[in-house]
Amino acid sequence: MAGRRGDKTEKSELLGLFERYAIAAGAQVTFARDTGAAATLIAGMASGQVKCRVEVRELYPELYSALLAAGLAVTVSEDTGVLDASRSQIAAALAGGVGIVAGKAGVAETGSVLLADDSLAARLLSMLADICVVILPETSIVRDLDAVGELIAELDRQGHRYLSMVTGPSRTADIERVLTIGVQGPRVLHIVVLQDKG
Amino acid sequence: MRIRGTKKAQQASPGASGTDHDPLPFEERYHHALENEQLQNNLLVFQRSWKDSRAGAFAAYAENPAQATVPDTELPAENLPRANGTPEFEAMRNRLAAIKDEVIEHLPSYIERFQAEAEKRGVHVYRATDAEAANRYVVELCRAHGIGHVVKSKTMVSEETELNGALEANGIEAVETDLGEWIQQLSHERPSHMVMPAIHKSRQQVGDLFTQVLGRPVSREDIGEQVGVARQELRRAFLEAGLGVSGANLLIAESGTVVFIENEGNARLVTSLPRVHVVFAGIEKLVPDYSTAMLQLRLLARSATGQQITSYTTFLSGPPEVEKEMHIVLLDNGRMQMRDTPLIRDALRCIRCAACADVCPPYAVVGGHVFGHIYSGAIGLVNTAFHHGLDAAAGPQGLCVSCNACATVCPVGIPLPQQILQVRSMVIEEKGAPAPMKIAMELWANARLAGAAMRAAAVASAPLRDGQFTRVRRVRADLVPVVRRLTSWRTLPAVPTRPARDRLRARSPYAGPQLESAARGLRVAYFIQCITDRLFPRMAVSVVRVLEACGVEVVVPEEQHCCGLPALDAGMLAPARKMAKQTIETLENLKVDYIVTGGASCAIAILHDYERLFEDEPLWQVRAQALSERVLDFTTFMDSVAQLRPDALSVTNSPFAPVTYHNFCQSANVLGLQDAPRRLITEVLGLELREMEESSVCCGFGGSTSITRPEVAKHILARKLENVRKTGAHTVVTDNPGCIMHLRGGIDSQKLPVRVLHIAELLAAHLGIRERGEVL
Repeated sequence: MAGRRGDKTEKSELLGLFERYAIAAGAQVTFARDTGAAATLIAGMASGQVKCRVEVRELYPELYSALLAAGLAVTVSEDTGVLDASRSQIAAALAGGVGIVAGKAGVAETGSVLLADDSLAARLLSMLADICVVILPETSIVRDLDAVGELIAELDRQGHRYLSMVTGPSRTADIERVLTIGVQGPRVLHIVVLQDKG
Repeated sequence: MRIRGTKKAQQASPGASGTDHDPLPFEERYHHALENEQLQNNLLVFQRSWKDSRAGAFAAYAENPAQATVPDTELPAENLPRANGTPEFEAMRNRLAAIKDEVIEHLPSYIERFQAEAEKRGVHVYRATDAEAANRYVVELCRAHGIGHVVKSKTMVSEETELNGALEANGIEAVETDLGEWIQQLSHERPSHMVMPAIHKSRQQVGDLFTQVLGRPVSREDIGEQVGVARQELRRAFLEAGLGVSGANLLIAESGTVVFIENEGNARLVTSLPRVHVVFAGIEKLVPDYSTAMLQLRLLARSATGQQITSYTTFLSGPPEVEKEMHIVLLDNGRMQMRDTPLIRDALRCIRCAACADVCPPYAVVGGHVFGHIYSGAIGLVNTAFHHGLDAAAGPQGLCVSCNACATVCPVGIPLPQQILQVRSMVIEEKGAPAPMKIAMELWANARLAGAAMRAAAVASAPLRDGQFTRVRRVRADLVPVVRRLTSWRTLPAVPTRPARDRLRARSPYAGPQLESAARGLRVAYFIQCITDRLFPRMAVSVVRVLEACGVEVVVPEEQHCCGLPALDAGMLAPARKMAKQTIETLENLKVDYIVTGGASCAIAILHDYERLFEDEPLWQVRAQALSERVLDFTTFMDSVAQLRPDALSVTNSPFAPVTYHNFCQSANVLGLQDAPRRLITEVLGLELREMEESSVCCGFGGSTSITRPEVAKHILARKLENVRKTGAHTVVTDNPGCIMHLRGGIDSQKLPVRVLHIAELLAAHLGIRERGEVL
């Protein structure tokens, strides 16, 4: 029992740190009790339509249904790649608006989320959306870069080829070292942490 | 594409280094940069804000509860420079340096491993021996696929190989997509900084450039609008391109993984949108495993931009989708030669963070188009010789002031100042020293001739003597350009007829007050230091007087001359070795407890440079090592050996107060002397110390720099004097005679009401006041 309580303290510490450092990096963080709450939140950001990765539909079917139930038109990013669409057609289909992706892990040390973007559609969705929403189960948050490094090595062994740690929105300071958000990628990175029911 | 630069844009930037194919000659670039006040303002503001960001980032890491503990390094890299930063910075630096050394040691097998793993994952790996081979590979790839448009994310290696020029020559258009690189491409300039390519430009300059190139008005003030313009224009380039070229910050050998970091997201697009992707990477980018990768990421982001981590860190292990084609060009281009050059090898640890440029005083004066070649900053003065040849490396060599600031912030502990001196000597060996310098150093290396020459100079300059100074204007010598260049902004010191050695030989037994000192009864040899001996004898008398007041028996070896530093600093190793040997012979057999010098730079030369100077003469190396065990600079001796009591030399109403301390850069950066001199001032002397900003930033003397690049010395001196002036102090105190000569000359020239004293002079002056109520 004592061990379990220790785990709980550790978990809430990691969550707190993750939130703190993600916000420090310019991300927005919301804790959602369940997928319904997450869907309501997303519907509030989007104007009638969203795009999401096929992964979101597979991993969080309830969220997917809740998005539809909230009256949103949902485009699955991988579906844009069919029928011999050219790379630029896929890009055109995925640019702008709200894009929803599933995070593999969160890193408390830096407030980063790890994305496995093994398809063109996956990468373009997280890069070309104006608002990138990352669904992240709270149990996936690890302590530090070393821990996420081990996870990346494992994902590589499983055959994942394109793994990115994303920390806050796209930014530049190339002119006079003045911070400007959203130069090439999303202007907003919104991390929705799904709370663990257990 | 319509957004490429025009001839007009090229004409609009006279300070530019020209195009990829046609850089201006070094001297022209140097003089353009000196005239560019905008550049100097931009860089100074940048350096000051970077320093705070970096310090903040490492401090935040120290307080981060999720901070990983850095394991002790079993094999610490040898002789790492003193670190400027938190214990966490130093521990991570030591560990990464040690790991990278191990990789460099076994580089061929790491390359094999990486290549095998990458190929297993479907990557085409090409090992390019030189720039031409690397460029040709990309050109042929474009031809084979019929590709006419290429997009690039930041890759310094492709700058190194001048890939854009090679592509253009073959009718292939390349567009840089990193904002800073794009600005530079539109300006027909190379990046002036490895991390912030356009840091020398202001928003107004960027606004004007965009307006001119795009043919529509873009704000000169609103950076947000300028960034928006770039986003819009570059999206088109991404969609048009058939091939993307990216760099790599790391190559992980165990999994054949390419790691790249960025803030904008353009590298993710470059590596995603075009169907063909080519990575350009130097072979020094290899690390063994993910754990090292994470260690490097922690150091890199904080050192480069003062961030905990950049917005995007991507781990790419092979083509991510079936239709994608991925190539990695692994470039040697002189790296194996660096590996085979003992004193240069450590430079292969470099992770391209550009911290060395961010603390470099001459870099702030001339910028990266002059301080370096394609690679800029201190590392550029080293690796250019190997990537682009000695001709390309020769021009900027004289710009380094040897302040050692770069080494203290380098996150892999590269001994950059020593390597720069090494390249400087390679340039001299290959091309010969300028005739006046050669004659001067050969003369100086002969103790007897040097003494005679200085006595002759004293006689010849007597009519121009005005107290401490020599006034060349009296004979209108300032009309001679070379004299004006050297003296218009600093007054030369007077050359006294009696050098210090004569005065010390004739001194009477010490009869002043005796201080309570832990050095009582010690026997100390005094190494005068050549500038002190020939130009500032009062400084020497002060040192001896203070030592004797501490109850020390002082001997002044007759045969002593010069430690060799001026020649070493000028890259002339033969006379440097001659003087160093003479110094060792003079000092090594003395029956004394310590050898003390008031020239902190000489102490540093003996303690830190002799070992390298005698790299090929192990017997002399041993003798130098034995000598160095007894050598101390005056400040350290007073603080840690003499250990005077608080207020031992305080006086009421000191005529010198308030004082400010110029922390001679090498004392701070090499010896770590920061608290000791301040303790002497505030505790022993009981004086009010008004800290100046940037107290340990170089004053601009920089040894040979003040002679070969006087304009740079002048600018750095102005920065220092501005910091001095702001304190309102009456006295600047320091511990190095070269700085004193430089500061006194500048202060006299600007007619500032400030006096400059060696810390020994200040101690002796207070001793005099205590003794007789008068100033010595």
